[in-house]
Amino acid sequence: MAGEQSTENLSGHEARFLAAYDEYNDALFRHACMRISDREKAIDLVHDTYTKVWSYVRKGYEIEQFRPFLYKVLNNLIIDTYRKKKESSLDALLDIEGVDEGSFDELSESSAEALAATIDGRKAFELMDEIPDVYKEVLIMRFVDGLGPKEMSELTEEKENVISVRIHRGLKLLRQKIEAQDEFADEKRKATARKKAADKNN
Amino acid sequence: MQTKSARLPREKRQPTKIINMKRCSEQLHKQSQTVKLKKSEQADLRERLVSYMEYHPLPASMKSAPVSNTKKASGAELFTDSFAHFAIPYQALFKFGSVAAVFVLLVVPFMAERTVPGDTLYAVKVQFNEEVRSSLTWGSYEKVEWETERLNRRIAEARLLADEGLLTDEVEASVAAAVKEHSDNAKREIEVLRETDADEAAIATIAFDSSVQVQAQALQHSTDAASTTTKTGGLISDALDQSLEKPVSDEIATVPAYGKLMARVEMNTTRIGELRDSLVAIVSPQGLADVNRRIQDIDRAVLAAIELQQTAETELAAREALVDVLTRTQKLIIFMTDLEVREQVTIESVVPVVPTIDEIELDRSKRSQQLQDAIDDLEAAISSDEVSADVQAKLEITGEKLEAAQTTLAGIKDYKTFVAQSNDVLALAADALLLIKNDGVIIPAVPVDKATTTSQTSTSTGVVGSNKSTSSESMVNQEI
Repeated sequence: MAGEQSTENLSGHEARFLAAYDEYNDALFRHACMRISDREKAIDLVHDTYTKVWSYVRKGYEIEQFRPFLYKVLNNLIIDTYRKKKESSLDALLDIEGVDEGSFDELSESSAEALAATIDGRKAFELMDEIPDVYKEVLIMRFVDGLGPKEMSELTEEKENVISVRIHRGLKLLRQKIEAQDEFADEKRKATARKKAADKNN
Repeated sequence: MQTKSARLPREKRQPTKIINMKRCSEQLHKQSQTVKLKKSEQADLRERLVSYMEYHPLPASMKSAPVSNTKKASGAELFTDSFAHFAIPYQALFKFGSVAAVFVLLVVPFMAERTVPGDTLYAVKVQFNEEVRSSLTWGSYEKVEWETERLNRRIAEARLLADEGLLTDEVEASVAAAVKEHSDNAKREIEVLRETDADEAAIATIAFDSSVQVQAQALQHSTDAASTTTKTGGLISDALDQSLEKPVSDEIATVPAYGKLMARVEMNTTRIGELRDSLVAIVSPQGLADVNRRIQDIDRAVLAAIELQQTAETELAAREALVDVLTRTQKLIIFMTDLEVREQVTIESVVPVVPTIDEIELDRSKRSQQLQDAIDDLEAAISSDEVSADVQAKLEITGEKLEAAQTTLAGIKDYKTFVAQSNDVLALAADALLLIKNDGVIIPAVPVDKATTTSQTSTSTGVVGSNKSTSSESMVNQEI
């Protein structure tokens, strides 16, 4: 492979950069794919992320920890993608949702955990696309990428309280969606049972 | 028991929740792990990336340099090309904006106030400072005052440039145009004022004309002084003359009401008092004495006008006297406020002294005595053998004329007429005595100097008159 370089020929910067690619490419792709729900576009975003980071390296910046840096660049690119895609910007979305200080429950970490306990993880994964990106972003960071509140705060440039509120509201939304889906499935099942019973009687 | 039974389920429930939560996170995480790049996709992506790195290699200096020598990258430096983030420093902008606003609105106009035509900031002075003040001036009388002030400023600027030899034809033309413009503006406002208040219009006209007269006088003096080297100020003088010739001055014929005149005179005298106090430390004792003398004259004239106003027959005379007082106060204010004017003309030429009755009597007797002395000297010369016959004949004729004039002067009641005629007679007498002197006779007491000194604008004695010191012998010959 043309791009395969032996580590002996690589400088320290190049070796570190490629190691970061090998380590985080999958996680970044997952994050991007879940956020934008477009596999091909997600691959492009990951590529763009690494090329941008490489540009920084070439400018002489030292990147101590690649992980948060890569996530930051990817997050910016995803926001750009959203802005390009729809007129209603993320800011407008935030305005509609209203990023207030949040109630005590919403700010509490244990409350978020308690809420998460009531949600089926598989169903939550399936319904992730149905909630606004502002919530999807923090839920993916938290439950898929396993980032802590501080890291998320740095990545999104929001206060930790705001992140907690978003996680809490995102989980609530997910639960509502799951409950609605369950109710719909239940109704459907009951209707099918009634139909079968009616057919049997006939 | 109840407590125990109630506590138990909760204790049991708690670990279940944690397990559920963990299960939820695990399930979600587990499900998300299904989303991943295929091996081929990973390899392609790596290949693309390595190609990119090959096309965009590290600088040579970095290849050899250790990693620790590079700069630290921070999140703040990250941005994307499509939507570059530009932080707008509103606070700094506001601060600098405030400073800039203060500079533009206060410092620049202040600096512009001292400029003259040709300076960079002169346009700010004329088109911003003065226009703003114009728009903030309410009332026609105040507008007339302001236009007069602007006119004074233009002339002062022209004088300043003329003194420095920088008054070019172009600048002079522009100043003359500005003078005409301000003059026209003032007259227009006077016309507006006349429609509502004829008395105020008449007073405004007096104030305007007085100001223009003083400026014209000062400019004329300045032009005369400069005419030996360069001819300057002609256009401006013409513009001033034009403004004085306009029919506005005709309106003075309508003498304003006594009350309004008196009010304006009081305002002016108050202003003069303030100006006098401010000049105490600046002008010489003689200059201050001159000003005080004019103030006394004005006060006396006001008292006289008040007395005249007591009877209906002399009410018009009282108003006319007040018009004169108003003119004098206006001129005195211009003289005291305008340094350039003070340097160009004497206070006597702007506001002549008005002598008191005692001073008039003293001056009359002094002049009569001078004339008598001159006649005596002439008679002595006529009877002297040292004087040639030709000169004696001339002196005899002159002596007769002087004696006739002496009789005429004794019958003149009006002081101004007396001064005017006595000046002529004394000048004739002085010339005759000079003729004797030139003929070789030494006259012990020559009244020429006395007559000349007296007829000059001597502020200390308070004598008013014009000095007609023309060429001596030719005048005597002419008279003969």
